Amino acid sequence: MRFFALLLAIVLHAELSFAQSFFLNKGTITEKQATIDILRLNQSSIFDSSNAVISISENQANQLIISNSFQRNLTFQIYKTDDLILSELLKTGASKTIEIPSLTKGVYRYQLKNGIEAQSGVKGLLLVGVKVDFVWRIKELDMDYAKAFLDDKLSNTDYFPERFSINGFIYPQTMQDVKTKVNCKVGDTVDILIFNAGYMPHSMHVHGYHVLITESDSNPNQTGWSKDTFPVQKDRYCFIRLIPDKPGKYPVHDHYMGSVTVEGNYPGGMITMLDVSN
Amino acid sequence: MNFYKIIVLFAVFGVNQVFAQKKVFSFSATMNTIGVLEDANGQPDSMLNWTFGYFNTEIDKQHDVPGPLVEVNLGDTVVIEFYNPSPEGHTIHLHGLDVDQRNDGVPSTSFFVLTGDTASYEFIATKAGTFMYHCHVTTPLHFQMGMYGALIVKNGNSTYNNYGKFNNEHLLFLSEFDRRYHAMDITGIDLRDMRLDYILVNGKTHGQIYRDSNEVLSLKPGDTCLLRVVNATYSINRLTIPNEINCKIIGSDGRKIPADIVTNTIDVYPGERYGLLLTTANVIDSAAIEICYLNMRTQKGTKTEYIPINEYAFVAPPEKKNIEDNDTVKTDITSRIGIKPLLVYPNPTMRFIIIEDFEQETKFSILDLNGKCWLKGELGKSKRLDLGALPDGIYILSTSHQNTLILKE
Ligand SMILES: [Cu+2]
Ligand SMILES: [Cu+2]
Repeated sequence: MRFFALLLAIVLHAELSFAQSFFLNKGTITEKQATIDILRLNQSSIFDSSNAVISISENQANQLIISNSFQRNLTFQIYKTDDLILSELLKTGASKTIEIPSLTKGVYRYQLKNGIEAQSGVKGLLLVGVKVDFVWRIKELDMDYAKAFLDDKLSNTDYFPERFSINGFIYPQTMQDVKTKVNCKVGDTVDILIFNAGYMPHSMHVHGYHVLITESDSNPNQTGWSKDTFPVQKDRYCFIRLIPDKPGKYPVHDHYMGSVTVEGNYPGGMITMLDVSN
Repeated sequence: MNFYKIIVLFAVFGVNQVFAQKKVFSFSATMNTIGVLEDANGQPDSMLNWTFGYFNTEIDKQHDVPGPLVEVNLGDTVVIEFYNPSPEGHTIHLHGLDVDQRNDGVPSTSFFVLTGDTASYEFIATKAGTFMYHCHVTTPLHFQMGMYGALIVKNGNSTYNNYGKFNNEHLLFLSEFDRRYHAMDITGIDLRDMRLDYILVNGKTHGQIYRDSNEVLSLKPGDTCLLRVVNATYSINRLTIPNEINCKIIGSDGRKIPADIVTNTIDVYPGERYGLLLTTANVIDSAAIEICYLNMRTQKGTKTEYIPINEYAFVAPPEKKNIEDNDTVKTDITSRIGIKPLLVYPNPTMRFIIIEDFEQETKFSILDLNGKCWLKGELGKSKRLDLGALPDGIYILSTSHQNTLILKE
């Protein structure tokens, strides 16, 4: 029995150490009759407009295999807050195996190198041993920045994003996604990780309840505060805990009102919902 | 209320609790209130605003931005009756009060208050602190137009249950105007595009603040002042408190924070509220709290306003130039929708209007409804017209590519 348990452990361990494959895919999005190509890191070779969440185990080495089908070489990086963990060149048209060193439990992010490449919007979560009920990746997209990336130059306009999303969904799409809309019951403890994968801060407002900020690298001062509105800085995250005391449907949205629009109309963009039943 | 309930109330809310009451506020909405701000040159600038105000015959004319302060005591049952005679639907969202879904003021999950409708919002004020209310219909627009106000739940002279006693309090309800929205015609406006023309402090700008003794913060040695800050803006509000003042953050969003934070710089994000306790050991005779608005998209400072301390005739330093030219924000909203309308503001006006023509030089004339021409000439990129000689009424501003109605009042 012991032997089998050991064998099972070895097999499981071997599986966990297996490399995970990701693809830098180019795809087309449309806004106000304008279309543009954007690059995203996906789990398959089929384009998806939201960047994948990479999840690995803590305290052990991991491998990522990333295929770069974009027409230029790119630099893939992993950060913990402001600390660069690794930086790897991804040659155009090639796959690269990246050895990720053993990391302690926590929230990390991957992105393309700051500057021209970062304008691509390839930026996402690397979760190391993190278990949480919901993950909200909030993000915006400025088509001029995406265009500047394609043209291999820096945008010379002020940042003025057109699309605001949560987990890649623009309200009301957010209402259709079970990982973005929160369905729960009165008295449940719901932990939500909010990560800002965009280039500007957002001020998230929760209707119906105050939430406890259990951890924040966005605004560390606010750890332990009970809030109904709180900023999430770019590249940063916070964990919030919701324990609903009453049933109801309550929106959660950015209180920076530019973000709750789609194509210049309200409502849209960075809005999701808490749906609490008895 | 029976004896036991009173005991329970005392136990829950502490000794400061005055007897909980039912407080009823009767509000109405307008979409045609003219407000006058002071521009950077000290000149009046009239704005078309949408507002909440008391629905009450005598003080009905006092509709203004922000809406009336709703001040109640901890434990009160608060009722806001809302009559909407204006041409569009509105709601009242009770921001931060954790009310039930029916009273949340979101049209899709609560209800709309359409033209001619009367509704009532009700909740029990269970937490002391600083909150706000605002319309939640097409929120970016109705919020920009001025449909908001402060809501304060008091617990005597304590901030949170017997904590943070103060002898003096001051409210900074911070909002902002993009003057393009406060003109009569907002066709083609892109709701993502909010520019900062005016910082409003309790609805006032520039000299309206410095000349109003209510807006001067009073702080003497021995005082403890509770400064309540509400961010009802599209910007980060960076407060810088003078060094001779000891400033402690004690609460936020209607809750005590776990450990006080001593700091003289506080960033307040859209929708957040902060409670600050101010004390000083020195006599302060010339100082001001600086409020800088940082653009959310660029995180750069744009405009700055000052709250004088203990000083009635405050003179603000000259406007900081070149921190960020507000006009460098992309101005191609019009090209996005394929037309280039004239900007005409303020409209309605009492005297002056400014016409901005993005396209080219063009001829204009101002006609009354009988077709009589009162003024004509050439428009450049920008033109200021004096309508002082014209009788009050409706006029047509006619150019080669656009007719705009102007209301002179
Ligand atoms: Cu409204
Ligand atoms: Cu709000």
